[in-house]
Amino acid sequence: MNSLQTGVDLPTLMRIRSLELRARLVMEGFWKGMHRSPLHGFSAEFSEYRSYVSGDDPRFIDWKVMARSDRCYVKKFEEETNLRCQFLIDVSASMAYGSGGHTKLAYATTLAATLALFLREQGDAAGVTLFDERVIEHLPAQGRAGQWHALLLHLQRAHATARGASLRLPLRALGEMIRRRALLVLMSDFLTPLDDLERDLGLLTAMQHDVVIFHVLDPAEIEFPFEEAAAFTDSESGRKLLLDPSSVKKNYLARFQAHLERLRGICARHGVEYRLTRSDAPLQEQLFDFLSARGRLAARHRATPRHAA
Amino acid sequence: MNLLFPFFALAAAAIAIPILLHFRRQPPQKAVPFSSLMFLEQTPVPPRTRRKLEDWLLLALRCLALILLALMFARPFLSRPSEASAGAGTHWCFLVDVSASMRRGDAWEDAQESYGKALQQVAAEDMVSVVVFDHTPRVALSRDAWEASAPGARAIVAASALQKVEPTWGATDLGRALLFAAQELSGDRHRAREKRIVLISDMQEGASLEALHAASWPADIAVTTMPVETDWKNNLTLSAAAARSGDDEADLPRGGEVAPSQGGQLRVRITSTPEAVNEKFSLAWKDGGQPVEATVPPGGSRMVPAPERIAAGTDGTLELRGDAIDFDNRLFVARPQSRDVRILCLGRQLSRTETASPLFYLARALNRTPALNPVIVEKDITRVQRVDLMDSDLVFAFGDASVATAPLLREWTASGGRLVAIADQGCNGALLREVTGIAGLKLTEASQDALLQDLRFDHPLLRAFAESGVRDFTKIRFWKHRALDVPDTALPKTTVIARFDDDRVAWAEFPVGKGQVLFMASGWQPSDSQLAVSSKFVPLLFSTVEWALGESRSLQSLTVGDSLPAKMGGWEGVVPVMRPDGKSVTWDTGKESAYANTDLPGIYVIGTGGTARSAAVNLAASEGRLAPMKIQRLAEAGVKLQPAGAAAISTAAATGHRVEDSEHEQRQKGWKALLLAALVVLLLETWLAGRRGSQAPLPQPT
Repeated sequence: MNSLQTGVDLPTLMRIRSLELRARLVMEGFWKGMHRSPLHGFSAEFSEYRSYVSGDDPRFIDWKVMARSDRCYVKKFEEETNLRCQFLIDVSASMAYGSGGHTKLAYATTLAATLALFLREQGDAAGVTLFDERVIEHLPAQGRAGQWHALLLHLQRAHATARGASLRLPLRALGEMIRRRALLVLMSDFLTPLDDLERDLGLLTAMQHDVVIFHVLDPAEIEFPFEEAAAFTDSESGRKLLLDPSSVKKNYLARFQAHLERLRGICARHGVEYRLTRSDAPLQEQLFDFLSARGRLAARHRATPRHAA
Repeated sequence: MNLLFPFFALAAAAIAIPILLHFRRQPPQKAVPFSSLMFLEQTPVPPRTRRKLEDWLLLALRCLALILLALMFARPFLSRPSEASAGAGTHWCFLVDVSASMRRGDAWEDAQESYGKALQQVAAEDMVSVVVFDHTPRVALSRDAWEASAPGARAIVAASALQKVEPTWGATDLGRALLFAAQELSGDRHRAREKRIVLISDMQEGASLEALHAASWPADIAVTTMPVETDWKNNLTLSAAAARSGDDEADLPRGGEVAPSQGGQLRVRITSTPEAVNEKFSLAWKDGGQPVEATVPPGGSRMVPAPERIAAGTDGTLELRGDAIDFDNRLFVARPQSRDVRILCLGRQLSRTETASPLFYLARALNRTPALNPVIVEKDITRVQRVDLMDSDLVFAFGDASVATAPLLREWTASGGRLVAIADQGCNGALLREVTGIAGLKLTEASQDALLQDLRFDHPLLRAFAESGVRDFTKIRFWKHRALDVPDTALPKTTVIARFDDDRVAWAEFPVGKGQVLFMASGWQPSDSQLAVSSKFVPLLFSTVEWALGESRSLQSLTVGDSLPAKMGGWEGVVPVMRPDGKSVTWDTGKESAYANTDLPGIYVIGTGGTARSAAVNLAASEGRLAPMKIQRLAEAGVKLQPAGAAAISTAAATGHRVEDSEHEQRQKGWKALLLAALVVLLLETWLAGRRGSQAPLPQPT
């Protein structure tokens, strides 16, 4: 997606201290790369139709409009308006890891800010919840004035805690806190046993929430590029292991892939949109993934309408 | 390359530390923070068998820096090639005894074997001299000959140094030989070289060490003794004895003299070694005759008369039988050949019959001997004529001479005469003053009686009394004597032979032109002293005659190595010499005033016809004293002894080494170059270590 890679490169972007500025720069880059008129989101507030974008369900293309105008538009739906989005950001100790000059948490917060800015421009409400093994901060999604700045403030202050994410994400507690149906954007590295995750995700989806998971991982976690024997230290527990990377890499990658596969399977079974997010990938791509995921969710809802929350 | 302080070079062992650190199995010190270890498991860290080249370079640089620092402190230097090639090492002087005592048994073969063993100590850089000695030392292999020979041939040159050497018949002057060897070593220019004398000898007790007492031993020369052990017990030595004195005092040990009272019969001394088994011995002439048998206790000596000769008046050989070692069992006796000695006695009222006259005792004492025939002529001292003094060998002047006769005596003495001036009572020293020409000389009568002291036994007058048994003159009292006053300016010319116990001169010698004046401050007649009636009177007179004749020995008392003065036998021109080995040589008395080639014991017949005279040359009696000498005597004489095999370098040589080494090092200043090199190496190491540390690191969290 070369068209999405215009603008400031990620390392430079991440060195910008202002989270709002980072988010706006990503948005700007995103729009520039789209080669289309600005997308006004999925909200019907601005037009009945909107231009077709890649990933839209072709069933909703208005062929008559296309025949008349030779332009591809899709019909908007009511479900696309008045979206509430809650960003659930893991701030456990493992999110403080980063091999590329910025941490996964910084990447996640920047992504969340970017998505929140997008939603704001779409007229949607966004909130943020920070958690590790328990909920640390919670800002519900609201459309009030100042929400954006409050959200930025929460995101700006987010820092990795010393605690780990324990064996279980506090998704149940999160579900109870978010009563109204919303789009839950979960950003975590999921470096935790997944034994209870399926049940918790099922609980969330049963509560009519839409869940999009951004599985934020550092490239070093994905590839394990280490060569020199060293004492590897767990950022959450502090435990050290004396390793020879050359002898453990194969096993690590196998186990890691198995973990990813299991997580994907869980997400697939519960209709959770799963996106593997490398912390060195351009944020514009993540924004696009978000929009794609949002579109799929919407299509699913049209196929199987649900009661409004 | 040498090191001034080699101890510091041990610090180079510190390179073991970086080597050990380089190869030690250390767990990785690097800590890598990671997000989660849930997918990782502990694995054994394999040893680092493959190290980077930079690690090896760092190790090499660190080791090199340590080595350079250690060498810098050790202060290396290069010895000069000339000294390195000639230098260090030892200058050996092998001092080999070839005296007569080395002829017995296997002594010489053992000595040669010891020499061969001693040569094995010689290293390639060493220097060798070989000196052989008996009564005189001589070089058998010089230092120059050693240096001139090829290095590969030096061992052979040294080994062959003794091939043509045989023991002689000479006595053993060990002291002189040691000093000679020390002088040989002192001539070595290389002052840092160790100097050693290896003495190969039978170390007999009879060896003379007198020369060592008159010199100081060099501090940097050590002597190692290699005694030749051979049989020395059970030996009897035959030597000539002096004339019998007629009383119970010890006999005077002089060779060859025949006691006139014995009617020409020879007296000999038989000496036995300690621990000798056999005490019995027999003496017999080689040409026949009845032997004489006697005994001598172990360690003792005995004087016995020689057997009667069948062929009296001829040269003879007396042989001793009864011991196991026979090299010293022969005594050669030359046929008696008496020489007339004209003795002029001058005085007032001299009498041969009155006991108050000194002539009475002189005439009876100076009897004819086989060697001497004294002809005594007396004359009034106031009437002596020049003609009376002609042909006189010795003049005794009793009292002062007249004004007219004193000049005659002075003239005669100055022409080479020998005058004995005896101061009578009432002498004022006029004769002595006139003859010696010492104006301030005077005599005064002493008031007290006196005894003799401070006798010079090295003077020809007293040499016969040098041995301990006959040195005692304290039994001779001098009732009266004259006190001699000599001006200070004349003292250097005066040789005081004896003093009285009042510190006055008793006997003195004055040079006068070509002659000598012997002054006696007291007469020997009973009115003056007990000298005439003592046992020492007769030998003293004969010593005086020998002093007058200028001879310390007679033709009967020569030992191997002694010179035969032409004057002794009256030989003139070129005379033939028949040696004991039967060879005849010629001797030009005009070119050589004495015949010195008396290297064989036996009879030397010099001259022909009526002038032919025989001289008996015998083995020195001291060569028969075969008991081993206590080595401590050498140390007491000042010689620095060193045990065989000791590797220690003398203090002086070691000091010389260090001074030279220090000078070399200070000139070369090699430590500066090493310090600079060490700094360069350390800079390289620092740069390389820093470069390794700044290499691209592994992925690190922020």
